[in-house]
Amino acid sequence: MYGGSTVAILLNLPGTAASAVVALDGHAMAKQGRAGPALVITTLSSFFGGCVAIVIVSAFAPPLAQFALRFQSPEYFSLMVMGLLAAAILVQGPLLKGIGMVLLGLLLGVVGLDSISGMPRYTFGNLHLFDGISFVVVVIGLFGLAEVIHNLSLSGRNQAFTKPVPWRELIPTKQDMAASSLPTLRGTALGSFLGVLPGAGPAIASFAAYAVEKRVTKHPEQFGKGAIAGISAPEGANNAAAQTAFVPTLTLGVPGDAIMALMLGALMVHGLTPGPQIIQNNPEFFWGLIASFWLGNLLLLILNLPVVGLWIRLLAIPYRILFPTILAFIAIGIYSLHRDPFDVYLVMITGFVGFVFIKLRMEAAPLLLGLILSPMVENNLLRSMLISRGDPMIFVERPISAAFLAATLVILAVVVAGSIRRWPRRPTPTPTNQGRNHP
Amino acid sequence: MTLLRTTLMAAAIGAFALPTAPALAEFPEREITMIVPFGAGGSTDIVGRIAAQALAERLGVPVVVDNRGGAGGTVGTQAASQATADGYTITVATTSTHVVGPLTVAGVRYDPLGDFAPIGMIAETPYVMAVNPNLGVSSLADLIALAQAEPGELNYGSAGQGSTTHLVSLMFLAATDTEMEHIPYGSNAEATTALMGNEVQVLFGSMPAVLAQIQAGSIEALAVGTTERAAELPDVPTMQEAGVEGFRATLWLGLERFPKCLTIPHPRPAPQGIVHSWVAGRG
Repeated sequence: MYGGSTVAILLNLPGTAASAVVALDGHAMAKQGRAGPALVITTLSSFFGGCVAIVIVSAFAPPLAQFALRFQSPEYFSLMVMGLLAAAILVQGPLLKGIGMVLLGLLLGVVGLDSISGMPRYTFGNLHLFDGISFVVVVIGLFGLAEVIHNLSLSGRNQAFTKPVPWRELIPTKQDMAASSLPTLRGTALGSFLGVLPGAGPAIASFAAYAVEKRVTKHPEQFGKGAIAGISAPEGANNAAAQTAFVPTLTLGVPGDAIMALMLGALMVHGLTPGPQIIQNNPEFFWGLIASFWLGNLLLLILNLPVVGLWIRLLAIPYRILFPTILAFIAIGIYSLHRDPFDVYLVMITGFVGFVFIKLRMEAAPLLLGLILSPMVENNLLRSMLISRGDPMIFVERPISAAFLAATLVILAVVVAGSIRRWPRRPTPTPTNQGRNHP
Repeated sequence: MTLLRTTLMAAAIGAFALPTAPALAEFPEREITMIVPFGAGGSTDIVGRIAAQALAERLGVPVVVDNRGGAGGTVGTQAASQATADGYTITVATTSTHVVGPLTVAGVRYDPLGDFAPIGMIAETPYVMAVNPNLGVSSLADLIALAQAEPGELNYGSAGQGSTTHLVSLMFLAATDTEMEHIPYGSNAEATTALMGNEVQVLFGSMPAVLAQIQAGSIEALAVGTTERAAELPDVPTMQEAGVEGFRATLWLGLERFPKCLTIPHPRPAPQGIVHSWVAGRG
């Protein structure tokens, strides 16, 4: 999970939803010449989140798996509604913009084969769109490509970005470390819990961790402008979730996502059958895996910390040389996804749309979560309705689902009440700011 | 995994170990690309990779697996249908790509019969009728009786609308004159999880997706869809042993066994020589 964050912070090129969240404040720090501390802190938060989650996996895998089984379609639906609201909160400015971006993401996620009826939707008969709009294409377009276009449009005003960074500024200050400790803890707790849920966990974990930090901090106005908590919490959460995601795979024998399916496949090729009995039947395998998690996390620390200085040098490359390189890597990377030129055209379109978003001050991160969760929200809603034979009360009659919906309402009430209460008394530094934060 | 080992049909692959005729000895002079029209790690990919390894050993050239997933395998199969028909591109054909896909996916532009030449069958996957243990049925007859007593009350899962697990379930409902509510999931794994969590009570699942859970007792197998008992589940009766007579006839038409068959794409007119050089060793 960590490698994605490096490029996300330095070049605003996230590859996953989780690193898109880290890019929000991480890239802002890089622009302020603080890429070094940002990279060191993400490494440390990742390491911490990973280590704690490994302990949780090795100690509590079977009961966690039983808990995961209690999450069925209605519970997933309610959890995702809460996750989407959390994503909407993390934007700068009005909540309405955030909700708008989430809804746009949900709509983009509708493209492709409808899994309940089997009908193609908005595919225009194009086979490439049958599996929907590829997430990587959207995230690279909206973040990476849009950033390139934006930087070029500033023409020469991005000097702060390319100035060389003195080596002593690579190390986080004591304040940085203090500011990241509690967020990392909270992020790790959230990530460990949500990672257990197959499919949705890691992505929701990052967004939720960021949203939580933005609510508990005394300085929400710093978020999006280089807040330390804005990188350490989601980074701790996503690495913790990446480890606990092994729980359902190992103990239930059902893969949570594509990577876990690959793991299962690899195990089967080697004659191991993952499932409820694997810890008893193959203890040497299970503990070997746990040991390899530890080693992986340790290597992450050892390999990454010394090269932070090297990564920073990347920013010293003049932008006129850097940007064609970025474009070439984007094109190659996107093409290699499905070896399909269609994806490259699509990334051009999303890149331009992303540029328009930057100009309109619309943040793309909530759209990403909407896009990822869209099929899951829809399928779990429809499945719940099939199971209840059309009775919507199923969402409030089941305790876990009802708890998530209640939490969603509370969050919404707090946010709305907060903006109503704050608005009339808000100090207005410049006359132009008046009315911009109208709820 | 024992299932894959036992169901891999040695005959099709072993054929290449036979001494080849002099005229054909030159055929594999460079690497062969095997298009697997599903993502890495899925059951088709696993079977494909095992077959690729065996082929590479016997042919003496590398066999490179190229995963081209998407749209139920139709995207990769379409790409394969457009490959040069020189025998150096082969693909793994499945029930999804060559039967269900062309019938159900709009926009498929290949002819499953005309654009490909079969080389041989490599694997078969049995389907298993499984129930949640809390349902309180211990035999297929119990399940049928329960479903007939309460029509439409039970839920059954599938790996998706129009998926093979859905179609086999529909066959079962028609053969036993029962009604259950269909709850489609996104994959075999999701459907299996739902069965364990009792969100659905019944799943006619593919063997690789349910075997570990059956062995652990978290779900219960009532019958296998094959005409003979499966080696992995020797105590589980077949459908006709369990009393569903009509099922057997339909099974023989091919819905029971879902072949994963190696095919070589060949746009018409078929270059018979190349197909022949692939198939020749079978004697």
